[in-house]
Amino acid sequence: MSNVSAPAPGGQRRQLVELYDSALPEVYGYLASRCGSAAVAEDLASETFLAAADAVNHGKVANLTVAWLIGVARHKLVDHWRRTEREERSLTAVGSEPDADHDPWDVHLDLLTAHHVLAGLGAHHRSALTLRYLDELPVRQVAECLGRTEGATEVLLVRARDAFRAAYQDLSEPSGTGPTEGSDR
Amino acid sequence: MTGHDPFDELAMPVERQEPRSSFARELRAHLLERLGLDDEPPPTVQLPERKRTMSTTTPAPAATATTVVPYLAARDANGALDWYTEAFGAVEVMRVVGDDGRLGHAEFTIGDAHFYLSDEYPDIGVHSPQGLGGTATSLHLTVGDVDALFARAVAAGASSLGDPEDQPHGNRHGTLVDPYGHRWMLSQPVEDLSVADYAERARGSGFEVRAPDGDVAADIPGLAGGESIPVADRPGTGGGIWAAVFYRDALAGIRFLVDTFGFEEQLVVTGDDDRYVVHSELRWPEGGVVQVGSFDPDRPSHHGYADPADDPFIQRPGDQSLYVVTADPESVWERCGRAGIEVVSAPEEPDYAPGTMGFSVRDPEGNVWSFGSYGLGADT
Repeated sequence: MSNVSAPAPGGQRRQLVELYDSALPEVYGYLASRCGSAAVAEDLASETFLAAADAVNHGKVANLTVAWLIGVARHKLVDHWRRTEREERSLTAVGSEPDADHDPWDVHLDLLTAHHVLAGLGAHHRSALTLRYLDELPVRQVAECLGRTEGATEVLLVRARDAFRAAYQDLSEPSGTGPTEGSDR
Repeated sequence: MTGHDPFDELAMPVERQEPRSSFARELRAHLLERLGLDDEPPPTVQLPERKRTMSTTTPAPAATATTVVPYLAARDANGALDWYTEAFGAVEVMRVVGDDGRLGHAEFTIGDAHFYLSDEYPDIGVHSPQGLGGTATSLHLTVGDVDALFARAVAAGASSLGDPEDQPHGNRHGTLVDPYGHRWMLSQPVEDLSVADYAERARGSGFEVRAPDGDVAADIPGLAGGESIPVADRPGTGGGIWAAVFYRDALAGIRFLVDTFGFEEQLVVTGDDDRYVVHSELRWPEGGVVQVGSFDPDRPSHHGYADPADDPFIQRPGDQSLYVVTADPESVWERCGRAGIEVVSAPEEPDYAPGTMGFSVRDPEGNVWSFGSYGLGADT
């Protein structure tokens, strides 16, 4: 760390504004595609850039890049899901997580369905899967973002995958044999 | 077990997505504030500066003598200053009157042009045209409506040396001498003409038109020293797009547009029976023109179509929807209220344009008219 010295905040402030002008669509696009709501994406983009400004003001940014901004945005997204999770907890009892199902699952996902399923999962499962699979972060980094140990994150991921799989199969393969054309409408 | 993990298919690279522009603007302002930086405009396309036309009502900006200022001398300069105000709509900036009543110095503007003025003081070499019996210098003013201003000056006592006429150099201009002996050329650009075009026209006239190679603006109005005013910016025509709107009873339609909305009748051309409007021009005072025409299903169109519904230039009454930009939609709304016409949408502040208001009404033949302050320049 001793070799890394942050540039003077003065120049970095302008640099952040320039970065804002060029990279806002990337940060916003990252958030909007993951949270599925323009209003939430706007809030989180605001939080991201204002947090970035604070970090720059305190001379804490070694390398001011789009990748760094996306990292900040990722934390804001996780924070958002954490808040959502607390709200969900206060509404519904937890513990209804499905039992782990370790059969190999080898299908090709329909992405539209997959994102729909993802949006319907509990916030903790949604964050874990988003970071691990949409953002393709290694488990260690997912753990860092979520503030959990790697072991706990592994467990969470297994449960999240199972929850996803159950919901996905429910949606794409309705119970019973064969499609139920036009029924239940 | 295969190496394939369906979850790997979820990978979602970051894709750019434009947020709402108003959000982007606001967040940028917050960011600058948080960083303690001065507000500077966001990078935008550099628009050309708005061309200004002479206005006889708009006060000129504070004088900055960065350019040559004609310093006029006149016998009875106090009277001359009053005359310039009356005839040219000059705006008096200041006057310095001596104990002997003579005008020692005065400053005034006409549109964007600045002038100084004093009485004649022959003993120190300040001569007036009347003292000299002539003047060696003409004052060339680029104006928005040469005919109107020329007529106003003549009515106020100027002598015409040549009424306004379109000239081969692309300007319509006239020359007059004011009651104090100064010679004025009032000039209104009417064509965007290159030097080459002018040279071509001047062939055989006894004059050869030349411009230094590769230099000097090619536009004659600019060369003349005044600001080049594109034809489209001239008062009288206003906007560049003229909308057409049709009525079964076009004369009643014109009456309605003038009396209720406040359009100004500029030109109405009727056919043989005085009821069929072939062409008309109604000017919106703040700019823009609508052309009202007749739609008469029982007679051939004036373009020669037996059934006017086949005439591609004619629309059925009630098919049009037009938006008129105005700084004062409230007044139009009040007039509409007095006329008791159908309201399509009541006045409101649109969420896309805070601080503006607009409304929509239907005219007696069903055309929809919207009026609003959205679209005004930021400087108005």
